[in-house]
Amino acid sequence: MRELQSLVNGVGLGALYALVGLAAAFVLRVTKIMNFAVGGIVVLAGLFAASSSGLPPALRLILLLLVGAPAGVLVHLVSTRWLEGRSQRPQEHDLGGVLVTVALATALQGLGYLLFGSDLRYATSVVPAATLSLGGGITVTTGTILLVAAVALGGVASWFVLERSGLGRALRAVSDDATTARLSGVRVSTMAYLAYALLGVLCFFVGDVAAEVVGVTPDNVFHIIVGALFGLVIGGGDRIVGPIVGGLIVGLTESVVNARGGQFTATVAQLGLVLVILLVAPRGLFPDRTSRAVG
Amino acid sequence: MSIVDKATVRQRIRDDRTWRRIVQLLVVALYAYGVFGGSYGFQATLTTVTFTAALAVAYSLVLGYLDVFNFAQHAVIGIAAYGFAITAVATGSVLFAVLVACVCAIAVLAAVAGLSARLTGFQLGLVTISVGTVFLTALTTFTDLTGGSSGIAGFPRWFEFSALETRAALLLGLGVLVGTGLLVKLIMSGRIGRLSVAIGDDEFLARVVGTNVVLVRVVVAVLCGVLTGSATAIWVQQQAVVVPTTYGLPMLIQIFLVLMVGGRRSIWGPVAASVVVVGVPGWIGGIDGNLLTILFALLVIVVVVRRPDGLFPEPLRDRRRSPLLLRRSRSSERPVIVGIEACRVRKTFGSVVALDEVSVAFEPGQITAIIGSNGSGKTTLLNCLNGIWQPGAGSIGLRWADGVDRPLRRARVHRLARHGLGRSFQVPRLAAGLSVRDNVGLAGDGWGHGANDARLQQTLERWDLTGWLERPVSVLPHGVRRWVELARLDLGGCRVLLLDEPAAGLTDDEVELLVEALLRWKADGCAIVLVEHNHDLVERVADHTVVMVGGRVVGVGALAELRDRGELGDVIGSGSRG
Repeated sequence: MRELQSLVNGVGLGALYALVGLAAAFVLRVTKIMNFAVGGIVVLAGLFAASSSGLPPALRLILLLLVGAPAGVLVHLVSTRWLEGRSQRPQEHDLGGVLVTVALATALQGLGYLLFGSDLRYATSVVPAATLSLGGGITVTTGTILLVAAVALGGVASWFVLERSGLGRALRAVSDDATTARLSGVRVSTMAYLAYALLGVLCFFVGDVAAEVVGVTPDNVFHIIVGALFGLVIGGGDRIVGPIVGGLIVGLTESVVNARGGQFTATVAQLGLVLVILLVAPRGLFPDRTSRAVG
Repeated sequence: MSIVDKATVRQRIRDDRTWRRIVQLLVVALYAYGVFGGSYGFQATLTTVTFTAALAVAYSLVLGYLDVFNFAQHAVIGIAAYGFAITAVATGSVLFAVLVACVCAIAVLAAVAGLSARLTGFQLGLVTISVGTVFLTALTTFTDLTGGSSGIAGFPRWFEFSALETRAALLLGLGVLVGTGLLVKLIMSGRIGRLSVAIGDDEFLARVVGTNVVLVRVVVAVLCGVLTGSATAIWVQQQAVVVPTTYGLPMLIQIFLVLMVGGRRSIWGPVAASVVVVGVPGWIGGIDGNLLTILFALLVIVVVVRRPDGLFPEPLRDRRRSPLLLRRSRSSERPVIVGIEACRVRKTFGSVVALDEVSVAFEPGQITAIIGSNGSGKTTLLNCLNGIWQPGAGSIGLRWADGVDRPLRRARVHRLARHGLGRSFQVPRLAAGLSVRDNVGLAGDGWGHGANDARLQQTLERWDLTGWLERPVSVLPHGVRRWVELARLDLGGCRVLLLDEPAAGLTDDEVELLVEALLRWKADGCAIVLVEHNHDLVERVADHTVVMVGGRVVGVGALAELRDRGELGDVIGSGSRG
């Protein structure tokens, strides 16, 4: 019974990772940078949500989404745009770029501690909080349902933006070959700004939901982003389904192993899982079907 | 890349030296004050500065030289510290505990170095961050062993300073720092230093000249582990207690900052940076820890973007002294490849067929030119011969000097190179962190058939490079970069040469020098594969010309004959002239 309950809890946690992973995958597709700062944005957004108790939840969510876009652009300016053109190596191999995003995540974490302390904080829920019984003593909170719904929504929205819209075509062109895209009249820098603005909105949304459902603390900055990026590595960043399934696998692993063997075993299990995937299937479980030429 | 004239470069080098002298003097003065006149508080902070600098300098072996970003360095230090404390309590032997600390640090660093061969920068970053999390979780999980948040105290020590013996503690730290600095300098001023810089700057280049990249990485990681483990074990004895809060993310950011600000391949730099980053806030006192972390993290970003070499980089110098490890290459004892052939080689990338049943043999003492339009598979063929890509079907045959048939089952790039397979690239590949002399001298580390200092000097003179030795390679003009690459090939004494458009971008005079070298290599009995668009050059030097179209060989013979055959004339065109 406890296993089943931890499975249900794991779906909620996995949905959170999947959402952050979707955001990270989105940025990865456009800028080829895995941005660790995403964890910092999510947590800070969640902390702001938790501290604005006076506002009606719906109004708070709308305000956060409005602030999200400029916040995303700011992160872009600091973590990637500034470094662009200065590095001599392709960005995906440039460790300096990774270090910058890790440093930014650390700075955002520090800001969280400075402003809000290290307590776990919750925000009032947009939907009424309740616990539903699934029978046999297994319960699910409306928050978990909300998270799963958000994943479905985020997945469909990402899919639509990336695969079905003209904007997505331009974004993908930039991702595949920035120079050619530039020569074809796509404004590469505008696309990157746009991607980060969308990222900011998505992160602030995730932060708000996380604050409602599981609570947020600056302690979790790296926990969240590492879990999400683990999901991205496991599922692969080529297709929308990658970070979603990957995030769920990471969340389920963490929840189920944690229930049986404790947090340490769970962390080791996640790391082991990711190492196996990286060494056996470096492009993840769902690689792009049209394999790309190399070189 | 901006064009910089000689005077500017000289000035820049001189400025750097002056700047360095000032920094060194200030650091020495600070320590003199600390040892002879400072207050207890001043000395205690300076001790922390000193140990942090020692750990940063040790870490520069991995982060600076190999360019491996290990985001679990705080865990490496933490594991060493806990390994020491737990062992010292359990066995009572300090010496044994120091050894355990070293083994702990070595184990993690060697694992990360081994993984770095298989993972991209981001993947390695992600995995190491997670390793750090695993470590911190372990500290709070196995509290019986680690003492939880109160940590471990009361272990036996070599150095039992009272709280007032801050001068003795400072001198101890200074000893550790000087020892670490000298060892790092010694290790990196010889062959292993050249190879590490080459790997850090251009891993692929290092492989092509015959470096076993994984081996060098692991060796350097082990050395880093020894230095980190022993420095940590001594610091822990000075602190007399091990608590988990010491080894969190702030420590990682602090060490990164010290190295990035000071210069990743520098020794004095991190010491000076440690004074600023660790010392100044300590002496001011009362600054909120979170605020400091934010400032430090933002400062890391600024430094990475604006001054990636740090504020106090070491001047470029030749790494030719006192090679401590991997003293010499044993290449002269290895069997030599003298000829190479492709047998029905097929290579596809997705649905694109890059090579289709290509069969060509390259014999000793002959120059074989490969021509064809862009995308016809010339470079792909070179890469297959070179062992960079394994053919999808067909095989690469090797001919050995002693006539023995010796199939290399896994023909890796660096192994082929060590048996005398040389390669030059369309765009010359040079290690930016090495001097011109060391860039040429790299040949002696991998290819190296009897490459010694006298032959190095001879080669530099032959290629007219002696006037460029003081310049950083990043400011060399294209022609000179090409000469550095070809001089390296020359010194390597390779018997099979794969040259990818060596004449591209050269002036007519420079092409004459190239022709001279090609004919000399031919007379020496080398098998030369010349991918080239310059048909004049091909006509002058090539014994055979192979024409490729769409991944297939469509003609073999003398260029003039091929051109006379009507159906090939269109394919070849006239090529570029000069």
